[in-house]
Amino acid sequence: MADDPGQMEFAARLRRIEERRLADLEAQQPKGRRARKAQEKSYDLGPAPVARGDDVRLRNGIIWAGIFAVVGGAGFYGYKQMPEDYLASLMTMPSGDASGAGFSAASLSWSRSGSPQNRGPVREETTWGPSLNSPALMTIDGYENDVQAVAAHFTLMTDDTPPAAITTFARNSDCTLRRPAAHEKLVNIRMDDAALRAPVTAFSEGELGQAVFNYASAVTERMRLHDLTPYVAPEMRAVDIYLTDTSAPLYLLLQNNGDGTVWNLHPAPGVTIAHVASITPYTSGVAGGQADTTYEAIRFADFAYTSDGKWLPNEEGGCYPVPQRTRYDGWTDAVPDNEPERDAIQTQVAEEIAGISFRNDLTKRSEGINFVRPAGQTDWQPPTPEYVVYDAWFRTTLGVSADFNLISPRRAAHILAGPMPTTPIPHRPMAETTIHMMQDDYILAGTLETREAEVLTMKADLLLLAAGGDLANLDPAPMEVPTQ
Amino acid sequence: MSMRIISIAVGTVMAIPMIVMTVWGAQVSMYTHEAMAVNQQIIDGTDDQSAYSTIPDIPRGPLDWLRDRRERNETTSATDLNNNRKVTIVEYHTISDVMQPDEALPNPAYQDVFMAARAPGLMINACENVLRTMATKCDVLGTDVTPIGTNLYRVRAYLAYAPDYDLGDFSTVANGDFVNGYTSFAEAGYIHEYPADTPEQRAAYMTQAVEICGRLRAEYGNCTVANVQLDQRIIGDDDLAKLPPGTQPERLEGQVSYAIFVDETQIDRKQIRSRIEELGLHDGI
Repeated sequence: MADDPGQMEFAARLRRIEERRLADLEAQQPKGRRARKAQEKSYDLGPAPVARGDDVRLRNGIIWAGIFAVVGGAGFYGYKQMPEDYLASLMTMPSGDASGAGFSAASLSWSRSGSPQNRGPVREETTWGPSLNSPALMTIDGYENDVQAVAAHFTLMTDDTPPAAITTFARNSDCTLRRPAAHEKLVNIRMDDAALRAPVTAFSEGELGQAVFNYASAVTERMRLHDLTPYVAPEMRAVDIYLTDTSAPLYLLLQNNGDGTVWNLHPAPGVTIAHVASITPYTSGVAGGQADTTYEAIRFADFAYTSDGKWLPNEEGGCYPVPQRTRYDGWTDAVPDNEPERDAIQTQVAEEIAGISFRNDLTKRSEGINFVRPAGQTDWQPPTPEYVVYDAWFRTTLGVSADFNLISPRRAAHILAGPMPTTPIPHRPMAETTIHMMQDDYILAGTLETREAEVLTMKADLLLLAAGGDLANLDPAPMEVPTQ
Repeated sequence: MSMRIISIAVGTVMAIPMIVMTVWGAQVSMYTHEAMAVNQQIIDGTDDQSAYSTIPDIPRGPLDWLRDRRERNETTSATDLNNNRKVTIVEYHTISDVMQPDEALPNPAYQDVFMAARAPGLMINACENVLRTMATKCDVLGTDVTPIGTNLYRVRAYLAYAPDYDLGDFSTVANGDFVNGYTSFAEAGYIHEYPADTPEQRAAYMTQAVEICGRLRAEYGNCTVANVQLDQRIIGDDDLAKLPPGTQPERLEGQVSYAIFVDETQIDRKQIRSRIEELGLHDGI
């Protein structure tokens, strides 16, 4: 059997097949000890197929970013809510030996971040009257959307367009105005604030002193010098008034109870401006009058003072020229546009629609003035609404009620006082106009940059003078026991 | 694996402030409950009659350890000038008090500015008395000027000082907190009953404050005169007319507060405050 050549041949073939198989296997084995070790550890049968959407790292990263953003945002706003004193006590180094080395004129600086004028929506109805920004135009009947429907060659007045000239006149020391003559027509304009910025700065010595006192107090309370600002009094505002009524010489009564105002008049051909009387809280002026126009003004801060947001008369008598308004609920009534109605105070409506802050405001306005004798009254009156007291003064002074021939936006950039012209009337730019200003201690004209620089210089000079010529005196050097 | 470790670490870091705030909130709630109970006792008259010392202190907030650390460093430093050791003085002045002899009075519209700007230079002179009695160094931390009527100003000055007396040993207190106690100088019903405001009287008050602090230091290991409050009071013209001729209208009212660094787990702060009160009364100041 062992000698069968066929079987022996078959066995030899099997052996060759086996050897060849083993040789192939040997060739596939990793060479080297390290490679073999790695293969022993790895059970990887090959990379698992991973679809693109199964990569969670991006998703997790987005979630973490969101968490950090929320925590960071909350922390930031919480930091902002902390009282400054608390923050300062936490974060600042102990106040050590401050010998005034850091106090010098060079430390007083100011960088302007920009103050856009004419902010807010172009037209907004409020319960105290329409609030209009340029180019909207207030009219007797409502408003127009574009002042250029009335004004030819219109240019927007800014705080960088100085007037051609400024003249001054003395404001009234008495609480009265000239009555309109029989042949004159009273044009009665009353508003809270003008919407444009005036190219004029005006303030008194007292206001300058108060501003620098506030600054000096802040510095000496904590012995920290900080930026001096170019502000003394609230910035003056401005409004364009287009006059088209040629039926009679006009007696313009211009009233506002916000900031000082420049009333920029644009009379149409044929209009005569006989007299301009203005009632404003602070220094104001009138531009664009005619050669024979006369001017007078009441600065009602001379006759009243503010208390808890209200103006109250200095004396109990009938001097109360503080412009007041009745509430206007144009947007609560079902009336078409351009037909606002001026209603009496609608307390019930207010209580239905207004929030708590408005109700508080209304309550405050309804409380009235105590211990007052409105003009024309001989007896003391119970708490009297401000409007009633103001109206009594108005009737006594001017002979008509306070809402006579009244145009009363809450706020406006442009006002048309008269009928709509058939063709646009000439708009005179500020650069070609003279402003007749109430007298004040300081009246500055020029671009905003030059005026701010001038005010900064005035404040810095006053501070230096007050400090005895050297800002280091604001923080005198410490005293020590002499060392032996 | 490493991602998990990072996640756990980040989560722990974020959780710590939340845990701290929660614990502090619970402490404030417990404090409020206790303070209201004490207030009710005072209203009902059932408290121990030592008003301020029975009302518990509000728990420190999570960030207060930052301030406490700074407070300790400032108070224990022998040379630092800071808000934790000061003499507070209130005086009344006219514009002439800050003008040079040959200097014209300023425009009335600017007098307030002159007063505010020159108040530090005026009040630094009060440091002479402080240096004479209790300090090696003295500086004006700040001034506060309030116009009162025509040409009269109330000037308040905060004078920081570096003490010339021994503050004591703070290192022996392991888990310390500052406890503040107060005493008044010369309790009086009427202004004229206070002593006349003179440099000598002010020096006497400061000297007494340092002496009492020395006795407290002997008992508790350390003591700092935290604030000597010296308030000038002016006798009105009508009342002055009823007093003997030559009576000085400027009188001096004062208070002093002491800061003692103790481990409150060992010593109760109420005990310290009562002791301060007792020393103040017994010393007749």
